[in-house]
Amino acid sequence: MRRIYADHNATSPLRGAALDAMVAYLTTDAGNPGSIHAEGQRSRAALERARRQVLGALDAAPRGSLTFTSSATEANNLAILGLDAEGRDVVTSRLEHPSVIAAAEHRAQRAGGHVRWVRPDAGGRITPDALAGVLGTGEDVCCVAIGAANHELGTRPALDEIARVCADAGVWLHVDAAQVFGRTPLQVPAGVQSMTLASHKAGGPLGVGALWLAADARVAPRALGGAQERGLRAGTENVAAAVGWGVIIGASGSLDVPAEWGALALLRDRLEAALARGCGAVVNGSGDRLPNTTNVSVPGTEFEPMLMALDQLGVACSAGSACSAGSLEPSPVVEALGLEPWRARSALRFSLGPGTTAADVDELAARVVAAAVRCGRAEVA
Amino acid sequence: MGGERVLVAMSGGVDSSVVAAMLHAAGAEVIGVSMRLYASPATPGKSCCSPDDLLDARAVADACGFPFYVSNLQAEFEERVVSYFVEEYGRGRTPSPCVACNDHLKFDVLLRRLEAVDADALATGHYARIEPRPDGTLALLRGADPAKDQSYFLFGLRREVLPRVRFPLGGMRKADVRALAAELGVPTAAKPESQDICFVGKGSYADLVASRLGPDKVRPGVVRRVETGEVLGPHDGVHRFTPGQRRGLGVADGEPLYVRRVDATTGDVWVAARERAGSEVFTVERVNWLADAEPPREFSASVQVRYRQAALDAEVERTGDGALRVRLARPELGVAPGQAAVFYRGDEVLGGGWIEEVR
Repeated sequence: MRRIYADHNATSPLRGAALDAMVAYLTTDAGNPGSIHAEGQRSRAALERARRQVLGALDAAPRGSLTFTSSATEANNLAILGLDAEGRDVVTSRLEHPSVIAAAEHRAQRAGGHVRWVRPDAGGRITPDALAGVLGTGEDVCCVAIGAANHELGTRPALDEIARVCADAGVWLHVDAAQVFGRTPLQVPAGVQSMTLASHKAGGPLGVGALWLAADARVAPRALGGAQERGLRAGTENVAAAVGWGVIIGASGSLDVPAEWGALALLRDRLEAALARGCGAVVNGSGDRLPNTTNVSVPGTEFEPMLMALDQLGVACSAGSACSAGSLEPSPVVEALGLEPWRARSALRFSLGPGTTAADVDELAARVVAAAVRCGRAEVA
Repeated sequence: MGGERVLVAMSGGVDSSVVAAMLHAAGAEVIGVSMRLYASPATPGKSCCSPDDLLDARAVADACGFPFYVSNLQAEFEERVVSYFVEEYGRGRTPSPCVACNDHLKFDVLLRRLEAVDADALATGHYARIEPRPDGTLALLRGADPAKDQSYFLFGLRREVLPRVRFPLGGMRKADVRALAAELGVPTAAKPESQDICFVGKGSYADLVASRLGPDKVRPGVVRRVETGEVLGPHDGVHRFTPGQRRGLGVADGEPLYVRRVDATTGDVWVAARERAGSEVFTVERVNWLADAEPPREFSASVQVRYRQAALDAEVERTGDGALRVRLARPELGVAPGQAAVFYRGDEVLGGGWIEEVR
């Protein structure tokens, strides 16, 4: 059976151009960028070239620097746990990725403070007003951590207004842009102090991510024992992965978003329409969304048997974040929308990617309907 | 089972690993599923269904090349097994968590997964047999290995689900299963047996119950002699006692003493010398019949009132409203409210229910 991959928000396959560029740095041209010899210097040069390519793809108003990490999760941890801002509370929302929420809770706990939660609107978005309400004067708050696009719903907040609220209060704003970078235009408005970027959600390799820091922003390292990444992240750099990422990002240009990602909005809408017709599926999240992501609740089903059924029917999709170790909880993101309980219990995320076709989407919808019939029957029996 | 599509419940232990591997080798389309029952990393080792055990199950699936899923049943397990376990002890009763897990998780939630994955049957590593009677209906029988027989824990299976359940180890002995594991190259072949109650871990069950109940609900009291009513000493909580218990009573009276009865209302734990500690008559409620026909109003059967205990001769009377009154041929130690009473005719499980009142 032909399989349909609709889980690009978990990870998206590596692009050929990235792989081609990487191979030499894993084999013939391998070298430790910290070494003084020619092989080391060649790797160092490649790493810095990749850094410029990734930085160049960011439309950042403020000047900033880029620190490579092993993943977006590590970058979120580095920013939230490492920032030396005053204050004790962290402001974030239940929509955020587990690596943001866990780091926020850890930081608040360590500093004797709390996590203050901004309630999203019913469409799955943090509004500037809601943020301002929770932030108050900003006293006692060390940072605000918000996603540039939600990993499960695809919803995007008005980042420039969010940044203005934080700047007015004089509070550090950390933006988790793991699902956005390399897919849609990503502006870094003034007021953002740190931003997390991922490689493997947009055709780059796994094993590399980055933390962008505004020129005046300072964080303390989490990993110790080496001067790599200007002392911010000890450990031998993953040169080949950075090279692969740089090539992909460099080719797409700073504002020239890969056309395939943008065009996915049409296919996503087609999928949503087919699912609504076929099994009464209801979309979670509304307004400005990533073009490739949809999150739907299928009446009369539970997500866990649905995921098993869909895998057996040749569909790769997910419910909730893949960062919960293959064992599943009802989506905390959909729960945070304050909808009826069945919405979270039956929520599935489909995330499309380059190479997804209209035929794929039609077949995907048909298989979801087939799975819903199976699972709906099972729940009734 | 050659061409069947079978969902195999895999704990990560040897038994269910062998079930999956042998069905796969026999040509069945195997789909593995493990239940995630409690949160990591607090889970203690040496049990089943811990994160390490799930990795072991996954390793078997990878080695054979069949799909494998983890079903997150933490909420169901907490409600149906752990909370039930704690509350029963709090009421001075003796729970049977393995029966609860079979009834509410394996043979309910996992059975309902069959449709989702389009499977014909659910297979587990239990040592019990399902065999057709002459009329074609199915009977639940003891496992062939008397030391491993687990039919006692399975009395709650509803008759109508038997056609969709497979116990491939039912006719085997444990030694044969280990040998087969090695022969099939099952990665868990040398794994030690899981024992005790899986969620209790390293501490004692009594500590777990006490911490879960909280100080308000722990019922301390006194230990008294049945024969004289004499108070022998205080105790920390009724949850530390079960009928038939001899060790850990915390009192002495010049001869071995056994718990006869636990009264959570008064906090009294009644103990007696062996000849006065047994029970002869008890009631059974919430009965599930697996036999081919509803039994007559009065019948003779052998009854088992604990796991790994010999079946006892008994006269059984149906008392209406689905309950039973059981009279044993001779008094027995350790007939405990909250435990299962399972009725057998030879190797066949006729049915069973929950012990309520013991006299």
